[in-house]
Amino acid sequence: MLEDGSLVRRWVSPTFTRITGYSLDDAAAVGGWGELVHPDDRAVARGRIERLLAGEPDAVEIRVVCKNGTIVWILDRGHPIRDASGRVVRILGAARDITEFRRNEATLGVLARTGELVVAQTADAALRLLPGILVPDAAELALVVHADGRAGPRATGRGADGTALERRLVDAGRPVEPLAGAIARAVEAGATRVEEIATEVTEASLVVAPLLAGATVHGVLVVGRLGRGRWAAADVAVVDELARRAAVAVERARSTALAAAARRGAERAAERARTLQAVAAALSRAVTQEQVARACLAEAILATGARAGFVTLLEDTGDMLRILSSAGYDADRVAEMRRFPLTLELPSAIAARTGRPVWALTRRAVARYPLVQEIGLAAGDVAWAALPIPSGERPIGAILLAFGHAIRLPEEDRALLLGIASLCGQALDRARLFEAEQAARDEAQQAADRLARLQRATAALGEAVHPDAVLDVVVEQALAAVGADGAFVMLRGQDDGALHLVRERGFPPGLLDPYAVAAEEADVPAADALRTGRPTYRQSARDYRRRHPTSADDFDRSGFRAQATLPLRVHGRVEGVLALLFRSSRRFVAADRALLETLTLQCSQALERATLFDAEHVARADAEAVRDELGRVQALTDVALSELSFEQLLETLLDRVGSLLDAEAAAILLPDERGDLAVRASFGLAEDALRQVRVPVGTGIAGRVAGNGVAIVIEDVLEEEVGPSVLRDAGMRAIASVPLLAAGATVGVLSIASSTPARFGEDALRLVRLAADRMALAIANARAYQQQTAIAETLQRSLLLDTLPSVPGTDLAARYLPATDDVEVGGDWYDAVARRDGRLALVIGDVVGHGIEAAATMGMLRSALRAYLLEGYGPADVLERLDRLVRAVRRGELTTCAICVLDPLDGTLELAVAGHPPPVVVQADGSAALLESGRGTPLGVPARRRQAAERLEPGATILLYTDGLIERRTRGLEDGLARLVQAATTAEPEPLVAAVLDALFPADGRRDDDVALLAARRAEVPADRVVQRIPARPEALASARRALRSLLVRAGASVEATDAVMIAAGEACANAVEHAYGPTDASFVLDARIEGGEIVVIVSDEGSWRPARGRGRGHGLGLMQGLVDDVAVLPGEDGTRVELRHRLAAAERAGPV
Amino acid sequence: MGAPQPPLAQVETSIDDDVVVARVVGEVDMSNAIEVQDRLLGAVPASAHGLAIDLAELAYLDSAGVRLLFELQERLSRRGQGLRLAVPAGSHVRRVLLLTRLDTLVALDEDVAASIAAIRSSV
Repeated sequence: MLEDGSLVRRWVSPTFTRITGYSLDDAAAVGGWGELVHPDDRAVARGRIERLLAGEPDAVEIRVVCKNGTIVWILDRGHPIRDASGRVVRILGAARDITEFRRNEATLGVLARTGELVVAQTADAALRLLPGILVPDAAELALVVHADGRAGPRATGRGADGTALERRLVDAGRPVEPLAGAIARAVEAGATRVEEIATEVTEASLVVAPLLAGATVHGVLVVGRLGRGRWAAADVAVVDELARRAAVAVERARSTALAAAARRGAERAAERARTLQAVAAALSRAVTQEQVARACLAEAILATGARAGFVTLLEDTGDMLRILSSAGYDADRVAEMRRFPLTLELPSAIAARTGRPVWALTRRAVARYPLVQEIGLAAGDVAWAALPIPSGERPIGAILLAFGHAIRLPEEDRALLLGIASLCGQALDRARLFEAEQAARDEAQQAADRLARLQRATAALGEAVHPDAVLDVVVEQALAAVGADGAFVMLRGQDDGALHLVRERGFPPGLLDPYAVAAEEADVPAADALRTGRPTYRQSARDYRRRHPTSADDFDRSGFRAQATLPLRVHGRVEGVLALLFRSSRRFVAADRALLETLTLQCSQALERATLFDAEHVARADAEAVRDELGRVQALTDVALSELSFEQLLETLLDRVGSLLDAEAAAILLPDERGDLAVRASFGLAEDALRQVRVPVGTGIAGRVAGNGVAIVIEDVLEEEVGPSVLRDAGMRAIASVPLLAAGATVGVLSIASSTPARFGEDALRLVRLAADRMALAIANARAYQQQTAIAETLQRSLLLDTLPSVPGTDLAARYLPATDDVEVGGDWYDAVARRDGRLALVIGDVVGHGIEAAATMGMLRSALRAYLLEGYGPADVLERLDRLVRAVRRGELTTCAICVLDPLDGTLELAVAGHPPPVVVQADGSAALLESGRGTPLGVPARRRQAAERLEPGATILLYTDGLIERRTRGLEDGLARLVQAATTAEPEPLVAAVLDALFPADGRRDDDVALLAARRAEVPADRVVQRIPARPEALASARRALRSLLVRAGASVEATDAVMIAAGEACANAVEHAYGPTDASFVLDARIEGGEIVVIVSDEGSWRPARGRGRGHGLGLMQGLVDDVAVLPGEDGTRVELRHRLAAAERAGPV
Repeated sequence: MGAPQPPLAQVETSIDDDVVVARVVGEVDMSNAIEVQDRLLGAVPASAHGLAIDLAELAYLDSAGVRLLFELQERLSRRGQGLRLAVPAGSHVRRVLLLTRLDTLVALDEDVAASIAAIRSSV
């Protein structure tokens, strides 16, 4: 104790130094003992000193900050030492470290406070409480680290130190090393651990306690005391217990919260389910698509608290959305927008396009769709939800919901909205189906109605006969068929081409009067339809004004608002229009138009038919009016071509004219040989007088008529100077005299007369002229006919052969017989052509028809045939050429023919038939058969011609004929053919032809048709002769020699003679082969016969003899001459002929051998 | 055309030492003369001394055949080979050969043995 009363520490025990780390000196250095006391406890310490100085012993528990910074609790007992005066002169102090004790005490308090945790309602609240329980009493730092690693609620004690430590251990809300590692280890261990750590600032002891509830780590409690080794096991146990309790509290709070949340979730889910149910119920009551949309929208708005919305549906075209229903938006604006393209950047369009919802739930999100603002529909919208309406794979539209405030839509609510949209889609599908069915039913009903109306109209039109009646029906039915208020028909005028009103119905009287005529170029629908020939439809007054501005005012005044105008066609020409008017605007849909146009077509047809009928009717009436006259005149022509002779014809004609006109006298005058007119027919006149009458042309009435070719009518011959007149002499007064004109030339004069003056008026003259024309024609015909007949007869006669050709080895017969009942010549012909090669070509043909035409065609064909046959063509080749010829000249007549080429030597018969009856072959023994091969179509029909190769045996005959032989009107062709074959009993041509004609034609010789026949026989070959046609080819020579050898052997020739003749004849044949040229099928003929002990061999070819050239050649002739008795080479124009003669008796011949 | 005809002529050849012997049977005319000539020429190798043709059984020979023999003689003589024909006296073939004066160029023998011997002896 110092004088001034201050205390000076004189001694400290070693224990003090151990506890605090300070020696006596150390303490003095920091400013004395007082400075060591924890600032919080300094007041306590001072109070104690005062009490001690007052002489009272005292003990306090104070905290002392040790030299190493840690804090220790000490129990400081002081005892005052008094001097004699009782004055305190010294204080004896004894300090005891009671830190442990104090801490235990604190931890007990801690445990006591854990009760607070129990009342924490939430896990967070429990965790928030936790650090405060520990700090400052039990620790300087308490920190909760959440299960997710975030640093949570914390508490720090002892001023800056705890805070500094926390800062070292936690950064950016997360524990860092060394704390992080410590936590990890504790969590890993699943148990509370003590960790000693050192940071840059200080050392600390940490208790790290996982908050474990079962296996769940709800977080980690970190409790720290500054300084090392500061945790006793009991402390740790307290913390551990605290952590356990905290974990339980957290667990309990969490499960309580979960349960509450689950309850709330369940309630919300139930509400959503109720909403969906309500939507489904509402939709089930909706029938149409629009009702579905409205119900859907209402439920969605109800469920979400949206302020507005609409439902759009994809149109059938798939590129436009149509607003089906809206709510909360301005109706006018919606009506304006009504449809918009699917491609627009609008939430609803995007949803409908992509099938994904658009959630634009904030002002900012909404701003991403500026187009909506432009449209102006959604002013004031702050958030949108656009939901696609699904249907099958693709959305069919979208629901848009608009909110006036930003909203949060939890996943469940979004799902609810999509669910509503899905229900909407199903309901729309159903409604669409329903509507389609309904529409189909309606359409079917309407179609049936239209059909019925059309049928009624058609029936009514069918009954109308005259154009007038048709027009009445047209107007009436058109009105009824489409429910028009007025109808009119305008027709094109005959003269001006303008439209004239001809029928009207349903208009106030006089309304149409100003429009009764419309020029073709007028600005009205009717003129349009007339010009274009197409229907025009004016659907409203505005539509009308747009198309016809100049007549629109009139239309407006009329009180009508729509007009359909349809062209009426008659004979393919637009002759008028049918117009239908309506008092209200009307959309003419396709079905309407189809009905109208079909109806118009019916009307047009009816009109056309009626017009035709009318015309026919008029024509018939006209015709009937002149029928008698014409009939009588036509009677004149009936007789013109009959069997009447020319004279009879004129008589008859004159009689008819006379009776027609009630004339008393009449005469026909024709020029005689000198050109004067002579009476050729007359009545009412004395014939004797007339016979002598000759009227020179130019004089008298008839002469003047003939001279000028102009009719003269004299009303009274007594009043006029007419020159000499037989008629006047006969007491006639009125005379009509007309020229008979044929091809512009006057061929005569017809005069008729009456005793009544002025008897012949215009009508009579017309009839006389008509009769005169018919007469002139008859006269001209008769003359022409006579001429033609003469020409045709001449022509045919010239074409038929006078004499048949002579071909060695053949025998021919032919006939041409004209028809007996027909004065005209026919087109039948036959022909026989001897060819250079020794063959005989036979032709029979028939040009169907008679007269000069047929004869001319026949002549042409015959000439062509002849030319082709002479050229060497075979029958089929000839026919093909004729086919081309006939087609080229386009002759109309049907022509049939048959062509044969007969080789008399070997009997080869080439045959081609063009539609002609089959030839008959009669064998030498008299048996006959038809030759049916080589048949083909008549000439001119394009076809590949076939050619038959037949063989005519020696002595057999082929008979060709035309169908006049076998065809009869009274019997069939088969019958005729059978009779023909039956009648052919001889092969001799002449008797055959005669027999056939006898058998097939009756005894009186009458024939319906002309007939041509041609028979050709192949002569029989005697035994002492060989005749062969041999192809001009080396290989054929051997067979020729064989034939010759057999003849020589049969004739008993000697070996020498045989050898000699064989070689000589062989040489001759070889020459013929060598000489051959031209067509490859050239041939030569070997003809060998035995004549009086001598053999004669004739080799004839178609080439010319050519002397052989070259060494070793040219031996032929020498050999022949050396071998046989006589050799003659006879060159000719058509070929070369070599004749060899040799005596057969070998003995008589002395050879050079 | 009918059935195929047998060949008009047959040519059989053999070699007797250095001499080729040919026998022609049948008929020779312009249809087969060239063929017969080819057969005969083809039968004579360059080494042979000559060709002896036996025509004793030839039934027909016309100027085409004669021409063949003329040409054959010419070709063989150019090769230095001899040709002899065996044609019996009195046969019509011999008559043809005489008429055509082939005997002035080609020697005729009574039989083929004579022809062979003559060719050998001429070497």
